[in-house]
Amino acid sequence: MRIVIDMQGAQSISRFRGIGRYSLALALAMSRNAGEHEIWLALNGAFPESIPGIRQAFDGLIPQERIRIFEVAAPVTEVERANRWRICASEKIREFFLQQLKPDVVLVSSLFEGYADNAVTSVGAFAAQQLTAVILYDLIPLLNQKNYLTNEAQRDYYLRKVESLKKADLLLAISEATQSEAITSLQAAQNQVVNISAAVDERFRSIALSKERIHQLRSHYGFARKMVMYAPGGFDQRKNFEGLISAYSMLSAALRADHQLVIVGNMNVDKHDYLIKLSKRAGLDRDELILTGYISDEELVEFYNLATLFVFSSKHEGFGLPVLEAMACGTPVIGSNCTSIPEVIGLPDALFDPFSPQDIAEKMARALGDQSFRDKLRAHGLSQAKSFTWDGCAIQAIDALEKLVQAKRSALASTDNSGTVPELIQAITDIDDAGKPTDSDLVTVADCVAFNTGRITPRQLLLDISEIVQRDAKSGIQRVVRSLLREFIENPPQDMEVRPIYFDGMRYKYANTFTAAFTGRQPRGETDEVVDFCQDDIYLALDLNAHLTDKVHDIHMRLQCCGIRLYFIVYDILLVQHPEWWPKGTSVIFEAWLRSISEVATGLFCISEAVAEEVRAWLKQNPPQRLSGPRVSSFHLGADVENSLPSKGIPEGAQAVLDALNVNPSFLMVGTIEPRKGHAQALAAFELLWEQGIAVNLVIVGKRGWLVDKLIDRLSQHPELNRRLFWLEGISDEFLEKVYAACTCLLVASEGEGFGLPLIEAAQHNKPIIARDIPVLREVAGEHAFYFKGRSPKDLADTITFWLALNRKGAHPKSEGMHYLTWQESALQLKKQLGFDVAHKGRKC
Amino acid sequence: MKKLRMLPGRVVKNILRGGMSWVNSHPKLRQYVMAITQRLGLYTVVRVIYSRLEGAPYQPRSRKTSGLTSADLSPRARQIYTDLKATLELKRRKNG
Repeated sequence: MRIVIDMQGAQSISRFRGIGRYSLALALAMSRNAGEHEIWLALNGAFPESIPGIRQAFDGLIPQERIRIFEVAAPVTEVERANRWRICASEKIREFFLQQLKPDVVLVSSLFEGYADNAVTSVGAFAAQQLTAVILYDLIPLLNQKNYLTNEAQRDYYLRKVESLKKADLLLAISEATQSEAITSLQAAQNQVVNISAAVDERFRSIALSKERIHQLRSHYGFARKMVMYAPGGFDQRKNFEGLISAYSMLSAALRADHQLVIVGNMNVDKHDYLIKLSKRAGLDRDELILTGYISDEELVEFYNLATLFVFSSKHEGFGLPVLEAMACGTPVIGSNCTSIPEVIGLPDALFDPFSPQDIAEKMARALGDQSFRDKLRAHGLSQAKSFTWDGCAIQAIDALEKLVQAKRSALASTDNSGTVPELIQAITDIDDAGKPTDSDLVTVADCVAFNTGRITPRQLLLDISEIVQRDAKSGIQRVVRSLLREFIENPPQDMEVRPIYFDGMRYKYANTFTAAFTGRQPRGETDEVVDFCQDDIYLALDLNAHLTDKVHDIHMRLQCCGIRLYFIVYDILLVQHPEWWPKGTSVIFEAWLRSISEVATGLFCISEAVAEEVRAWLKQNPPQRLSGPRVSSFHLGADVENSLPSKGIPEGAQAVLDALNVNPSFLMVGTIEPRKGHAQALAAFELLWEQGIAVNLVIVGKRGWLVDKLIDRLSQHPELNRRLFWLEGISDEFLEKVYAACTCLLVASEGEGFGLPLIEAAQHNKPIIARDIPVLREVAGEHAFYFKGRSPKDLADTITFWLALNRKGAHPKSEGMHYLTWQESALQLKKQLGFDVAHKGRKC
Repeated sequence: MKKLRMLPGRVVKNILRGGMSWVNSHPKLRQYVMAITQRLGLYTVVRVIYSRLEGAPYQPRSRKTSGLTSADLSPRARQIYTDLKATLELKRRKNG
């Protein structure tokens, strides 16, 4: 049996109340006790802040794929009459969405939602044949309409929900009393309403408080004597403050001198003043009534444990959760003898008539004055509380749902229960009594329906190439983007459709035009259409789009909430580690990007394990504002130049340069000239070597970068330029190949790298390597490079002298055999980390 | 405090900018400051102030749904939108 639980009770405003806790705890317990049944969760996307917590709560209990998000045409708050059409449309959209999940039964965690927020609930608004069960907490407003349904909007809203309730196939009441009220007031059949009861979580238990803690609580909340506690769980009329305060005033002077009445819970100023006025009228001294205001859950447990007596004077409850909480904490409890409270307390001796202050006073006096009675209440409460468990509730709920499905299965078997989008459109356009939709309403509805219904086509692997679509800067990163993009397009993961996308400043679009030019194939559409995001799609940012962070962060947040997995490639985090290596302000943009992706990403794929380690350390120091951080892993880049779409072209005078390089041992540095790359140290080191008469060449291949004005001046005016010093700016990959061949050794003096592709390129040319001793270079080159430390010119000059000596003897480390990946293998590694089943292996130079 | 209040806004801003710039140029200190502000729950506030001073707008999270136009729709959503409009129009004509 597939049970789809609509979890809006744990998402809406109710999530801060008992209904929210109930919805979550019951769904968790049902998942634990599901057996052969499938539990699916339906979450309203209008409450994005609630989704990560729910996802995490169910992690390991049900597959994440069974947590489905639906969108509604917000705003849909019932309190606003202007929302009427959107509410009606959203009810149909939600029911259609639930229908698409092919449930045997839908369980609505809370039907009375949406008055003041964007929750949408209904039964039979579209999918009339769908079996639906509803958790019923109480019908207090229906039974006390004069007190609770005082304005027209509230009344309309509530009575509409009651009509929905009547259409439900099964009501799961949280107490016998509520079950009985439902049968009577809704004229429901006996077997249509089942009591599944309620429970409290394990936090509510007997604990020993230290003297210091007791002192802290007493001084903070201003109570000094023994505590008679009332936690009403609300402040409406039925909570009977009048009866309780009046009864308290009837206690003997001795008892009142020993105790204080403590009312726990959040209340506004009016309520606060009203209770103070009540106590004055009853003749209580000011210090006899303590009103705590809001207290945390932890403090609530402490209050229960501190209380001498818990009095629950409410006149009407659906269950009476505070009673059970107090009993679970070992607090002696007395309470009202009406509605659900007797079945929760389970001890007739502990009950009083809430409509009689005299009766309340007598029971309080007995409990406060008789230690043995309190002991009896305490022992009974602890034992009684154990009979209420969430697992017990869940088992009863599942049992009731099984019976419902069995009973209705034969009737439903002959009915076509699957709605279609045209049927939904017809139903939405048939809404007659809710005003007319605006064009904006229709757009919103269309967007919701498209998202909720998903596609028939395969899931999408969306590759974000926002930067390269705008401009190909021919940077190292963009070479990676091109190479991986090609691999993913050529070899898409099984059952996935690879779609390059980009952000156009307003929205994500399919990069149809770019892709057609890139692959040489026909474009998929005439224009670049807006991306059709659906749940289970995968988003992978190949490009580094740090400059777009502010614009795309909210979109990414929304995609994350909607169940789309987001992955980002992290090339390095040097910008936050060494902001001084870049122009002022650059690191701010990068850091904003890093913080953003750490909040939204499912996973971060670093291009080396060294970078992954640095990212993990950074996340530890800068924990993202989310329940659990992204998974950080690493993969290696490809290094087969032929598959990197190399650039072509040999400049004039190239041969003369190559000839010059062949004369003396030539040391090649490859990469943009920027502070971290160590060019300044290398140039100074070679100046020392030249002073010492050592015949060596220094060859720098790379464009002018940033913050290197002085170095560029030194290079361009150097007396050895084009004699023993060569600076080849912006050369093609084809010419670089020849330069590699002509040089003796690759010198990597960089102080920070994400991967170190030139190491592999050198190995492919069988060129020895001298590299700075940093983790990432060791990770890439292993034993195939000669490493140096130190930042002074002499350190490097000595290293080169030593290496030359080794080289003469043939004793220098050889780069042959260095492990590396092709781009195909690199993409395979990436696909594996995305969760696709692939095998990969590396190769040796 | 009174003296501080009397300073012109731009002077205070410059002082803050200078302080932030100095912290920025010391990566370890900056990471420490970030961690402390996060622990104290002040990170968002500090980030907003920082962004304002640096001229980079900070956008809080929000949902997209209202304010959509048909240009924001994917081809599939646009088809549904077109069908909705067409069905409504048909209904309008039927009802005269």
